[in-house]
Amino acid sequence: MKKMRTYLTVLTMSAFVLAACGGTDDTNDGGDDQQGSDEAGETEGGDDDILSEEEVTEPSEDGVLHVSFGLGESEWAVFRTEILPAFEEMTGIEVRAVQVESGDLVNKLTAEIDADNVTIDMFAQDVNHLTGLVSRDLVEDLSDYRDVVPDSVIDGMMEVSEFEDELLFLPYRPNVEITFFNEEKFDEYGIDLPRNWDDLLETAQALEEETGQGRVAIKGILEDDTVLHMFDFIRSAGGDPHQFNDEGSIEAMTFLQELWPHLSEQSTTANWDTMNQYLENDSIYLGKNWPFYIGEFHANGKDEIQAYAGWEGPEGMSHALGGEVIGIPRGSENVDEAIQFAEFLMSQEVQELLVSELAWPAVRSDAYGLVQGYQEPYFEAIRDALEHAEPRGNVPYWENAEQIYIDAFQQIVVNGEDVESTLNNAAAEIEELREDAE
Amino acid sequence: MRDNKLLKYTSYALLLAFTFAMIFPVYILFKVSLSSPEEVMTDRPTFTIQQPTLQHWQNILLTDKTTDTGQAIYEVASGEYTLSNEEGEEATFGEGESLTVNGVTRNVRSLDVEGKQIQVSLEDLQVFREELTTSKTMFGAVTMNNLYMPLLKSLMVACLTTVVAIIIAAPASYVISRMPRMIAYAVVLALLVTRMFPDVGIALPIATRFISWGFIDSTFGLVLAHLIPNLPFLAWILVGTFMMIPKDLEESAMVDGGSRITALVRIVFPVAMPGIAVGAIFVWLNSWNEFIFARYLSTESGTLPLRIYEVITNGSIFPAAAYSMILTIPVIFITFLLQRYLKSGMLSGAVKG
Repeated sequence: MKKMRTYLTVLTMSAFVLAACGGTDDTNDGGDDQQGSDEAGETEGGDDDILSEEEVTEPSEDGVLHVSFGLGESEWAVFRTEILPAFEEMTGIEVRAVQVESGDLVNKLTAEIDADNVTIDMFAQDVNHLTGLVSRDLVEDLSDYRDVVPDSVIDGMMEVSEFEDELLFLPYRPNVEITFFNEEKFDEYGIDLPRNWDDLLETAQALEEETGQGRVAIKGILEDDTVLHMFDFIRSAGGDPHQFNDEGSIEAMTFLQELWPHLSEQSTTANWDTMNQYLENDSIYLGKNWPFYIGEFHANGKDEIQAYAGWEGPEGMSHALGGEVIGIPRGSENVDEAIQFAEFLMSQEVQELLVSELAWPAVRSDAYGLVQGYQEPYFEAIRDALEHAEPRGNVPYWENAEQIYIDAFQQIVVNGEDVESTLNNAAAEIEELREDAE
Repeated sequence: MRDNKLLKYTSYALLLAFTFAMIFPVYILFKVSLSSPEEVMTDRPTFTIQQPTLQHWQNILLTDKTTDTGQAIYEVASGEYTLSNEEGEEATFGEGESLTVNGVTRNVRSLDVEGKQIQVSLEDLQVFREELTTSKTMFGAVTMNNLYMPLLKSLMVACLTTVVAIIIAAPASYVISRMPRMIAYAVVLALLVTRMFPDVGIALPIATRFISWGFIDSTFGLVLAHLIPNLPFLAWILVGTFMMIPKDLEESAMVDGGSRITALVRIVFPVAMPGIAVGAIFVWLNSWNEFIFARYLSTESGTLPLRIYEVITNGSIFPAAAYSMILTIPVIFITFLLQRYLKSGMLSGAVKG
């Protein structure tokens, strides 16, 4: 027992000493505490193209801008070693960048704003997860900063940044889902890539026959991912998913009902994350997903997983526009610095670097990067798909509407219920939400 | 006799199966963290490690050396390279020369020769990058922020939570255990009622209050938050433990001249040590693995589970497996440290009839 007491004493003392040393930690991602105004302006030339002298404001009282992103490891590397140092060098504003997942941001900001202690000055958020931020009134109105958005920013990204004519976000990164396929398996079974709905059904059936199980997947996990896939199918059939019981919607949902039995059973658990795992471990051979995992496919020796834009529906191709926009939390004390950083991220130089290093499509039409090596074919697919990208649409009732779409998917596609009557009921519910919102 | 043997072998078989079920997931984590991607990323992965590699561990333990401003330090691997800008100015970088490259400013700057820098096109910069290597370090800023600081914070929070919880709950539980049985039962029930609400439901309002008190990124704040779910359970465990200790035992000590405090410290608490050890393990593990409060109350300095969550959601399974192994090692250590106090029969013969 003496030993136990000794352990406890040592444990207590160590913990208190460590806590005293720790307290409120003062770490940052770049390890660049020394970075500050003393280095401002050292870079010669070139900087004027990014931020002019008039645009560079004085750093805030503590000279630190706290920003959050949801980035992968390889993406962080470019931000840490090139983008943040360049901005800090030019402006003298130290940037502390932290990882906050898009799914966590709303609750985190809610807690901080309610507590009147906002620790994030600027954030990047998924364009399809903005409604919660707006409905809870968590972001600053940036309408006065319209002029910092370059004219060459693609239209769709401006559309997703606006809510009822107010500019609440600044465009920063477009994105779109592309269709990944296992080239080796398609070659092995002599199957061509599906280019339209008929091909898609045939491909799903052929792979099922060849391998004894479904090898094509859609995101049928009954979450927001599923809704985006529904939107793609409905729009490529000429339907309006916000109406949801028009001819195009009926045609799309009928097709999905027909396709479902031939899909991989992993469609029920496939989302933005697991879809990559299923592709990587050869469980599925064809599936649509966001392109953030391309670098990992390559690093893990899975170069046989290639990509193309995808298939057309009866009325053409459609992809939900994704990506990220920049927002400033209500109550941020560093709005000017945050705007400056946002402007920097939208600059031609940064956008070109992002294209070249990460194969991110540029938010502006005049940024031409140089995508090389293994990234090239994926980037081609992204560019092709982006040409058919449409914003999901910022409707004020979205948070309540999402479940209606998910329920309709489950009833029609998974349970095989009648398409028209189910869609009529769902459309009536959506109409009710719309009327309430108005 | 035959029935006894059957029972014995069945027990062994069940124990083996149970042990396998417990160890199997940890083994898979271990295997993935040491396997080559080709071995794991297939529809028929092998059970044993065929091509061991330390690459995934190196990826999380080592990072590129950087300047004070965070830029990666590159070196020219071999040969000499001359870069020129649009104005025709040239700069030559030789073998072993240290330099930084910034794609935003299109700037190449030598670290060895002061003032030697040149701005070139993005295309030239990318070609030049192919000729460069980086040196790795174990204590770079990235590793510190991604691994060591979260690990340290998790250790601090878990240890402090455990110690504070025991300091608060042990005396309180002793008092409750000595109350009349119905009152003690009501108090324990009241404690457990507070645990009827899921953490995910109460975390937001609690976090809001804590953030308004300035407890964001604070070790102390997180310890307080972790005490909320753990104190009731710990008290419940310890009340049961103290109830098992006969009152006669401490009364005997007091008859022999000890005060109540002496009896408590010298007799009751040592006898209750197995229960306290169980409670300590329980609280430590809960705090070590806790995620929801840590997520709300951390911005810049998170705990290790938060870090693993980030890796899992944005990265590959290989670093996630390596991080998870690091998360598991202290658990094994603490469990082995405290399990020796989990002895039965402590009270046998303690009080004479």
